[in-house]
Amino acid sequence: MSAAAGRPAWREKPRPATQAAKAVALTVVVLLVLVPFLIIVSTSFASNREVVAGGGWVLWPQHPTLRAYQEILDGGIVGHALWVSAGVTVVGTAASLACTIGLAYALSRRDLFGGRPMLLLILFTFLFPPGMIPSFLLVKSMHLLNSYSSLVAPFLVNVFNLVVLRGFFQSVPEELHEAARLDGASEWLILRRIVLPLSKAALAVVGLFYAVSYWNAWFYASIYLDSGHWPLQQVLRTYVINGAQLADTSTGDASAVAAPQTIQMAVLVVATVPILLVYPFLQKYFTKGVLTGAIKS
Amino acid sequence: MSTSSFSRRTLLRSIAAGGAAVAAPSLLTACSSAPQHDVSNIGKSLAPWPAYVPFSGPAADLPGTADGIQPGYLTYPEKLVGAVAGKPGNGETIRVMTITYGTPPKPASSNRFWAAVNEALGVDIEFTVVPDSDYMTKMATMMAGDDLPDVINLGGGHTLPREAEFVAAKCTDLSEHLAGDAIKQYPNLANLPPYVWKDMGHIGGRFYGVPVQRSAPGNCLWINSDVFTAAGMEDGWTADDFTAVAKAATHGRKYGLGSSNALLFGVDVHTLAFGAPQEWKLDGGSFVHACTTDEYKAALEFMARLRQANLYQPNVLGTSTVDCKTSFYNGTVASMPDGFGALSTSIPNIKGAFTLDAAVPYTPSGGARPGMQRAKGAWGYTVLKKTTPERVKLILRVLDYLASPFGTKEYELTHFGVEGAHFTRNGTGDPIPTALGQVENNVNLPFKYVCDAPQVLYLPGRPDAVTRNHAWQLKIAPMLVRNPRFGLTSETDTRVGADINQLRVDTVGAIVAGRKPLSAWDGVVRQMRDRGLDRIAEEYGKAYAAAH
Repeated sequence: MSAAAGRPAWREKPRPATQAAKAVALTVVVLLVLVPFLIIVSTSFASNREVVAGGGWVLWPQHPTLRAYQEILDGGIVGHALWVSAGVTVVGTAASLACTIGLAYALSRRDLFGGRPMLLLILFTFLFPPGMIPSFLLVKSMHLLNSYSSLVAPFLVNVFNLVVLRGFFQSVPEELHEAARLDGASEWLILRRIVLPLSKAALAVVGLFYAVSYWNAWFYASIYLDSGHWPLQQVLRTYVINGAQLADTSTGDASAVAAPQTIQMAVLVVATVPILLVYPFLQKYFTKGVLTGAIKS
Repeated sequence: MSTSSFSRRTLLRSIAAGGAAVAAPSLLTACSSAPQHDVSNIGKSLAPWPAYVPFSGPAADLPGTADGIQPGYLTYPEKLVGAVAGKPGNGETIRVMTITYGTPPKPASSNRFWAAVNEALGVDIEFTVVPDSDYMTKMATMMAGDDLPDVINLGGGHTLPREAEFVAAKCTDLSEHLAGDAIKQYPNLANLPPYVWKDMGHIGGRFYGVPVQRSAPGNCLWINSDVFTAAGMEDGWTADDFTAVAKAATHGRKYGLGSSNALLFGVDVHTLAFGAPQEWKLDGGSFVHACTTDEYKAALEFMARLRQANLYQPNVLGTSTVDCKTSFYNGTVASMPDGFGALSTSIPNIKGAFTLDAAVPYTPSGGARPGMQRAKGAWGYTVLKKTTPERVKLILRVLDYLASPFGTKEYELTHFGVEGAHFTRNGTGDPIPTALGQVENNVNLPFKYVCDAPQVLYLPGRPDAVTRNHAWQLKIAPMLVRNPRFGLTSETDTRVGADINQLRVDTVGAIVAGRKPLSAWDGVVRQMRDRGLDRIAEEYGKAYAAAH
């Protein structure tokens, strides 16, 4: 045995070379993540002329300007869409969580009458989603076209999230339920006072899944809503995909589509930052969620 | 949520309708319960083409032609004339839907441009804009859901599945209002040249739409004229001269030829210069596809040689159109293939850094006649949902208003907005958009895709560019090659045309980029034929015979 006898291999002090290599590798990885972000933010603050001269992007703008943001936010369309998205995200997430929790809890109980067929029915929609036209016909016949509810009602319960949550609820020991019941607690009280507090990590994850999907939703908005009702992502999409410029390529008589790079980057910032801000607040639950079951106690 | 009228029966009906749609291959199958409509023109007596009565407004400085060469205006006309007497409507509401390439319009309640146009039209237009990228899905869904606005523009180069059948089944036959001299009741629509109507065509021998006009020049090669002239570009150049010029314009990290993945090495420009047809040619009554011609293959060989000589910017197939344009504007590449509309969008981006021109096609070796793409005369066409004759007349009056030509008060309103609010005039009288005009305009609220005047060549504050481009248009006019399928339909093309075209695009890219040998081309052409090219040719042949 070497001089470090008595010390297991993983407690050896690493050699300087190894440490240096690790540092370099980590720095490279961090830069790979950070530099594109920096380019996006920097380009969004650069002038068009600078971006064209730089070949499409800028690492550090010489003359920072807010023009791209002004152009997006002028006219109040993006501002309105931001409120629509925020509203749909908050209301949608709350409604989805309420419905998913209720359904998942009921389905997690073994003695539920008709629980199994109900679960199969729900899983069936997971495997065979309805498709666009049937969904459209349904939304139309419910008179939800051009209503914000059309962005929430058809998507209230996501089967994947339901299954995750149901699994989590099932892992709550049956003894806790029995003890609570002996103390005279109703199902509602058990859910509220015992199961939910024990499932914070899962709820945070599922809630975030819902929030992100509501925030990112644009496709059905394009089908169900007219432009006055569009949420943020669908509006911002028009800036990126269509370009602020006139363009009708297909008949060959007009210019191919090209939104100024600065606008595209500003759009990326506006679309991403609000939802990114949510993550730090949920981080502690994530850590807890990851640790759950890591060590046997 | 208003669920009051949502009964169990409605739910079951929805599920049944939905199930039928899911089971069917096409999105539009939900329409199939409608009676079948014969949309072919074969054996029908065709409604006569609408009469052409050119508008006699402010004379152009550089005259155009009825064949799509644009009239050039060096300055904005001083005295505008009126094109419409009275308001077309009387407070009615009209729901319209068109494609858009802009951002969404501000709501009608706070949009002064929208309000001004509504006021002038005497109607309340409820506008639904559909972004180009959502067009196919949204239209197909609305058609299947039978949730149609009063006025729909079908266009932008898209063909919906069974579009002609849909139009014949659900939309108003406008023949009695438009055919022959009947159109004279709508003088601004009668100002649309005959080629526009022909490129829109008949459906079942009848007229169902009003076309949105486009001028003659199609995809062209935009060049940095300073660089190309210094590199030796001359009138009457040949393919070899073109190579020499591109070579002289390429040095260091500057390249003579730019392109993006979508612009595909400028394949439209080069194949037509080599004498290949624009997609199809008519050969003794039968249709022959461009890809099957020797000229097309010769052009591919030429382009592959240009690429081998490193005259294209590197990694064309990995370059986006945005990046390609940026490279063109900043001088990294000295040319860029693009649509004709790039003229008006490029000038502000170049900011006078160089002279922008479109290239005159070079003559291929072997002495073939060089050609250039002629754009489809109808960008799209506007159809009316079935309705009462009075309402049809009302909507046609509205379309007539929107078609008011350049140099009229109506055109100024629908294209530039309200003076003082959306534009002000510069020293020479050109309308220059204000900050409000940048947000409220006909890009974001695209009345111009509902109906529009024939296009003119007018670039505010740039009479020099107008003169140069007009001279170029006259030069290339005799070289323009029309696609004979414009205005005709082929069921097989609608069904499998996109797949066949993808095969073409992939192979052209691979051959020019050097990933496949030129010898692979013949095999791919055979594959294209197997996948339906011959059948498409046959169908177009029949449709052509019926229309002529």
